[in-house]
Amino acid sequence: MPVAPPWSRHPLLTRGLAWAVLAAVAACAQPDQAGLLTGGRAYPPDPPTGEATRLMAADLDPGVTRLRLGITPYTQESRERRDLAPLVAHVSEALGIPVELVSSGSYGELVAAITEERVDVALLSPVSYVQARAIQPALHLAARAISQGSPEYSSYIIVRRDDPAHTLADLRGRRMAWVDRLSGSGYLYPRHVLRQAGLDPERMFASAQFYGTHEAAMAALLRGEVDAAAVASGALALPCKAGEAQTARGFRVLHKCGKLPYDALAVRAGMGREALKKITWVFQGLNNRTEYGRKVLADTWAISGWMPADESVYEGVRAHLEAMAPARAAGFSGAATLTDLPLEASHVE
Amino acid sequence: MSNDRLPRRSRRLGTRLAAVVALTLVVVGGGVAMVAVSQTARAYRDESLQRAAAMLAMLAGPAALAVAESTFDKLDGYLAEAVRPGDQDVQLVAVVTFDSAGRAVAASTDALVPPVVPGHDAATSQDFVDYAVRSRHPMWRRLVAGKTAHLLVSVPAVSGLRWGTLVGVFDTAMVEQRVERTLRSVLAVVCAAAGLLAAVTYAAFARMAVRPMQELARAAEAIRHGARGQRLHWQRGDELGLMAASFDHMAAEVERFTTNLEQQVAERSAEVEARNHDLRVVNAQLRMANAELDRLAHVDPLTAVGNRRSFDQLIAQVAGAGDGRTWALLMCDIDHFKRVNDTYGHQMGDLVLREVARVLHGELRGNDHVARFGGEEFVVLLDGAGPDTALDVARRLVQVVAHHDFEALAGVPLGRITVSIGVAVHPLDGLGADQLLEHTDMALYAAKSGGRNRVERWRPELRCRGAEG
Repeated sequence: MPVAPPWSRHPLLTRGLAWAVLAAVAACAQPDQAGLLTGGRAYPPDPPTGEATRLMAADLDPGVTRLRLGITPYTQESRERRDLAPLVAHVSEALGIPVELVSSGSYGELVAAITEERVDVALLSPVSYVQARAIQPALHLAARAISQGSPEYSSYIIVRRDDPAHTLADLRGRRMAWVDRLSGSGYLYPRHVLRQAGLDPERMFASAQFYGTHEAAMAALLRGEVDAAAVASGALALPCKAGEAQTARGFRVLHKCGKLPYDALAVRAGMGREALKKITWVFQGLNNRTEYGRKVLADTWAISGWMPADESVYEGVRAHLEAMAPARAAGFSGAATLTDLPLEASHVE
Repeated sequence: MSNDRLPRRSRRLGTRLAAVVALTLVVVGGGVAMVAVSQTARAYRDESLQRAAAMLAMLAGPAALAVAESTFDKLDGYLAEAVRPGDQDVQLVAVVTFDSAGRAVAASTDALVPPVVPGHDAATSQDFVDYAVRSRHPMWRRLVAGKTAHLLVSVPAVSGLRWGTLVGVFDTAMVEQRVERTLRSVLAVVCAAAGLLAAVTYAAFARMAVRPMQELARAAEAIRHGARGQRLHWQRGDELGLMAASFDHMAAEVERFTTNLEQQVAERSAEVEARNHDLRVVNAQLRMANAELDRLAHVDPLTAVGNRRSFDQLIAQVAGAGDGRTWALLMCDIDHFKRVNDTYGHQMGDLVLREVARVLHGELRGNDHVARFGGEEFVVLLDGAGPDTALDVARRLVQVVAHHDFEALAGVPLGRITVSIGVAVHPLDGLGADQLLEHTDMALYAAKSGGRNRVERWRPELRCRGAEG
């Protein structure tokens, strides 16, 4: 009887080898065809819209029939009301409750209003938000604004285009224009940068004046009243948008002083959980991605929309504000904590 | 032994072993190499994918700002700038920005449509875009058609919010070429290694196993052809050494056994041969004795011609041959023989008988036979003789005897010795031996009655006379 070769008596061996070859060929011949690149940041899904955002009676305190929206006095009140009317109408419709726009005479007044719960929702500047939060730690942060497509803006120290100054040290003995002692980009950040550069912002300038608004500070620089100004990057673009391109081109950015988050959307501490959720949805769901959103936000200080936020994004502002406290002895009252800082802007027009 | 020649197929063992080794290396080495190459290929592709995604991500920020601010014309220019050809492995060939609703809002080309991948239809891209604008993560799809290889990659355009999605088409043909080159070179190395290993295995196996086996086979073959003293005498400690030692022991044992056997066979053969010789001698003696006995049984001791028994056998043989042949019987009787016996004694009578027998025998042809029928009677059988021949012979015999000089021989005056002969011819004068003998007797009687020293042939009337007489 003929003896079969070993492999014919071991089909497992033959088949195993054959499968190994096939598997190897398959592994080589078939690269992955499609997939996801995970591991990066994941973005929360868009908030619900429509009926889901309607406030129920149970969501609100008894007797409440309207929602008070407090705004930072960036411009004149009449213009604010006109510019923000579409936003107010949208929020009112989305929540199913009348919205009352509450103007404030100053940053500090709005801080006081939200912390004392005289308004339900407030659009607070970063510094105002940090102050309000220091006063009322239970204050809710519902969202942060996105402006001109960006969640952050920069603080610049600008000079006239033909100015001889090219470094921060060159500003020694020159005339400085600030915006406000409680302005992040117009005072706190540049001041911090100067100190980090080994300069003394309190004494290095021949004169230092507060102009109240970014536009006023830029106007003073353009007029030659001052030699440098601290302004927000957005403000630098504003004249361009307004058709004053020549004005904008007259400046040169001497130094970039860091990035700040845009305004915070704060909700009073006592607001109910459901109402807070729905207010958050309404604001986070409104942005320039839709034609409707663009229409609503057309004249709203270049706001593109609102995004989810947590406390940490305002940490930088808080740090700069706290750093200013020891220097206050020379500058003003001499309070020891953030809550002691003056709520009123002390600028001089 | 059915096949006399030893099959010379031992080389095939080495070939087969080399083939098994080469095959195993090709399979195992090839498998390992394939896995390694596939890992490398995956690394290449992953790297190209990461680079493509990174390139798109760089465009994503500006795209987000542009969508948020609706400055699409600026974005168009920016994207067009990004697809400038370079010498990179991963080349961006087209990029389109989609808003959150999935509408194309800016593109590197003039057309605001999903970027079509060369070698594939627009639906493929559209399908990808449909998923990509909803995906929260960058997505990719590899599209290979013939020699072309492309990557479709999407990256969300995020700036605070997800403003839209960038979808880019990247040409990755160079990456695939790199993979192919790697695969080819690895396979070449594996095949070369397999071939080398097979050759080494073949050579080593031939040296270590095949040649010793061939030598062993030759030794066994030599023993088969009679060289019983053939031994391997290998001094090696491995299994082949063991086998060779066993072989040597076996060969020695076979030689001893065979030699003993042959010795025994030779002894037995000698004995048998001696006995055969004796038997041959005895056989010869027996044959001679038998021949003598036979002769004695058929020859009349006195006259040295056939006796009655031999005549009976002969005539039975001739008569048995059939009725078609002719033959004749001659019954010959010495006239007045009693007178010789009485006168000169039996000794002289015997002499006369011998002489008559000699004369008769001398006168006959080769195929004629004479026998002593009894007393002073002789019978002659003439085979093939017809009546004339028979009568001629009979007459000649009568004359010869009559003229023979018996006295000179005997030395006494015997007188004239004559014979009378009765003749019967077959088949004319009778059928069958007995009848013919009877008829010759009758004829002889007639010859005696007719005067003796004469010949008489049987005639039917002799029967009557005989019956009368």
